[in-house]
Amino acid sequence: MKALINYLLKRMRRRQAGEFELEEELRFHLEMIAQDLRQSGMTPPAAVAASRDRFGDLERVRHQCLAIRRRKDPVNRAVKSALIAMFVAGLVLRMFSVTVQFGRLADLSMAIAVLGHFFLHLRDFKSRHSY
Amino acid sequence: MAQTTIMQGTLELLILKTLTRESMHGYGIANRIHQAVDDVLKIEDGSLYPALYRMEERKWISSYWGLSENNRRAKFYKLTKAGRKQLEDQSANWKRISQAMNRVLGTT
Repeated sequence: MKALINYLLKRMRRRQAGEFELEEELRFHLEMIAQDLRQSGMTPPAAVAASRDRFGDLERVRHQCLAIRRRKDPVNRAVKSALIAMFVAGLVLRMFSVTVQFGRLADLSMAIAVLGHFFLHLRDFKSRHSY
Repeated sequence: MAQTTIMQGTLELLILKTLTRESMHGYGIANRIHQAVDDVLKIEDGSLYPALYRMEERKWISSYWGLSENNRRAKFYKLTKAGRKQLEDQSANWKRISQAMNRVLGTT
């Protein structure tokens, strides 16, 4: 239990560090554009506004980058593998079930696996194609 | 001049080509691409980052933190061996498509 808590805390910290790095990277980019524009004679407020304009939708970029990072997450991959295992187990149970209860359990297991996979694919698809 | 919105694969190809000479941070890559496409293609700087993250996920590029030209901490990207191979493949594919399109458009 303690190991699991430690693992979850470590994962949370790693995720936060990743988010901070992304913030720093995007901030650097925006500030560099604004600096160049100021050097070319623009007023500071106008340079900030123009840098946002040149950069595009900051929130969308942040969201997409975090979604791509999440795909690499080992826990995400483990969930995908667990869903596949769940589907196979449900299929085997369905084929060899002798009682109605086992049959229902198998159906439920396969339905959860399919829906879970569908949800994960939909999330990945959105992060891949929304730009 | 009329601007054309860029497609995902095209942006990746531009990034790969930009990184062939040296490692660069996102801002440097954006500047180099803007100079190269000379405002013909409409590219928002922000669209580079999801592309960079995706390319890193596919191991076409790798990243490290270093110091920029003005001594600020910045994330640099560099091309990997797989990235060079990808660049060769995508360039060849692009040339094939371009030749085919030219042939079609040149037909009366």
